[in-house]
Amino acid sequence: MVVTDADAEVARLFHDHHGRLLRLAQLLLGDRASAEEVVQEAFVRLLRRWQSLRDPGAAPAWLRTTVLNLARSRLRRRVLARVRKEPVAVPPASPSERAELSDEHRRVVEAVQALSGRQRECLVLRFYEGLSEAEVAAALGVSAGSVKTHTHRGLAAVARRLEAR
Amino acid sequence: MSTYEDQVRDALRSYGDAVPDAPELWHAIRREAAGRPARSRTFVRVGQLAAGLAAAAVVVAFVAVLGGQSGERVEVGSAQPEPEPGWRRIAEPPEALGSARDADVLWTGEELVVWTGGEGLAYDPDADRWRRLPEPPFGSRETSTAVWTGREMVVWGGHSVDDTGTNSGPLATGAAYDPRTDSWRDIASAPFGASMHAAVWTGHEMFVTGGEQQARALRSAAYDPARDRWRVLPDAPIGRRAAPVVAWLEGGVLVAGGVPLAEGEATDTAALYQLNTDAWQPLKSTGRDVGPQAVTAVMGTRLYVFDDSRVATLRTDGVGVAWGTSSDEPFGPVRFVAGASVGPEVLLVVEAPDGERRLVSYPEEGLIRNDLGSGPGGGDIGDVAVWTGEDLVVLGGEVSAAYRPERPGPGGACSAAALSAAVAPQEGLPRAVAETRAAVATAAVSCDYDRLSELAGGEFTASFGGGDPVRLWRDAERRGETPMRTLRALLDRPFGRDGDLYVWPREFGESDTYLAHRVGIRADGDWMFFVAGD
Repeated sequence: MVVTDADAEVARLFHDHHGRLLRLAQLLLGDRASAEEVVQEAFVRLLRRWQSLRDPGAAPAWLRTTVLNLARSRLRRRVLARVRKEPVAVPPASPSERAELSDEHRRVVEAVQALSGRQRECLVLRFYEGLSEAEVAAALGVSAGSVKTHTHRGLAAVARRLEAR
Repeated sequence: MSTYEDQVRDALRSYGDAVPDAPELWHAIRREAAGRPARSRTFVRVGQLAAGLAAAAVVVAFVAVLGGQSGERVEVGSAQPEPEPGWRRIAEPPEALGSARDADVLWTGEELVVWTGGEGLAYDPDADRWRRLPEPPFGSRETSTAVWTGREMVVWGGHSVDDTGTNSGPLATGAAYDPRTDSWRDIASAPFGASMHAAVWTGHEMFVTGGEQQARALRSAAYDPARDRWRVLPDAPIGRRAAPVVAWLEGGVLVAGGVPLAEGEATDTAALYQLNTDAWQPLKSTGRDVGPQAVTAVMGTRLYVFDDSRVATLRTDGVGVAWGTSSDEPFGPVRFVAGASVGPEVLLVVEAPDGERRLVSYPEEGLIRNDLGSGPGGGDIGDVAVWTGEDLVVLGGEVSAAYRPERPGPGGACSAAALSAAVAPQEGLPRAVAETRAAVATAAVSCDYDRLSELAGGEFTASFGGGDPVRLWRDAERRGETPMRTLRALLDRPFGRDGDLYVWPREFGESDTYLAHRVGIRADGDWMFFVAGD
């Protein structure tokens, strides 16, 4: 396999960003295997279109948007599969992952993962990725007002779920 | 709320910190990027001829695969001996079909076409060989539908996903693939787009309904491929939903179940769209959800729904429709995976709690389990079953397989074989008409095409597109359709008059817009037509 400039550039991006993207995908999807597949697919697409990329500096944002879109698409398929009652392969968190999360944190994460897609994306991007409302809006392709609304409703839903326990 | 912001921030970061990196992914990324060009996958071996056909010579040839890269290497079987009844392995498709249930699988009369949304494969059972379809005139799309019209495969709707995974929204476009010319044509755009919808062929139109649309109602439309024209149908009297079960039940399209598009939207409702009146008839609530997970099979005017280890039937008598008795499935705690109606029975792939898949038959007349085995060996059979007229082909599993039933005496797998040859007398029929009616019924139950051809005179009409009636019926039966069952069943219905014609069913004579199947016999006893459409 010949190493090209694209390989070298994307390898550097992979080194710098894949861990963060993996965590983003796992927060959205809830399981490791799906997160790895989504991140892998995003980098494969980046490698294939590298030559046509006008601004390589935009690649990290492009990767994040692609991971978000692919995760959303996977969640949609998962909903259909659940309705079809096909086995949905969502492995539980590994023992080491469980061990490192306190009960309180696990309850919060479960509440976030139970949110509707857009609310979950807003909370993860705002509070995990640390993006501003404007940056979340740009990443999701929605207005800043919409981000504010989804974030507020998402937090309210998390609060209701935690208080109900 | 700021307290919860902090809690969420801390919890997500804790969770994220526990997710390790995966540097090994890089190798897989490079392999996949290098090994799978965007729209033209490199060759993967086609092979694994049926175990029972080991004696057959295997030829390895370089053939130009239509639509693929020329020179692709495809392993083909030579002339195959006639398979024995029972299981056999068939050639594996050139790439894993994954969850084939997400693909559309159609029988054209000569080939089995698997359409995955952006790529198509066709399997020729006579040659035990796969080929690729040429690329469609549109990019890859998801959740589209494909129906076989008797001439073309029409692919419509769905949504496209670009490089960044962005969803295009419901599409109104589509294309039709003609296997005779191995080419695609664009079809007219529909009045609206839909994704995760459902589609069914009604005999002369493709009926589409439901799915994600820019509408609050359950909208439907019908596409006429002969005129390349769409018509919008009245809104259904039931709520919108994605992926409903649709079935063509002689004169009407049943729409039931599906997936809610928003929280709280009910999907335990059903309705029948009647072609002759262009109107909907609401049906009693199904009483439970019928989701896309259900396995359905149509036998004449009856739809069987296999779901949750239970069986429900829905039948229409041409006027009214009602759910039949739901009964606890007698097979035990199994999951229904796939099925197809085959003559007077449904063949079903079921999965036991331990994951083993088996084929069972479900005779129309009773809840009797006939175990037909777990496949040809070598792995589990898949989750898509298609009847080709001779074999039940099962794809999408660890092995691709075909099951050939025993031929049950004269008539073979004729769709009308289970029906009585004798017709009950009907008052008011001239003697010549009654004799022809009885003769047609007798020939229909044994698929005696030669006799039917004798009875059909020179002016006989079987299709408004012309063509040899015998070939039309035989090909339809081979595709798993049931024209002989329809013909035989119609002759039991009350008849009507239209001049010197005696017609079954009576509704044909009462409506100028009746488009479903009907039979006409002239007062002098000449059989004039058995036809549908206009």
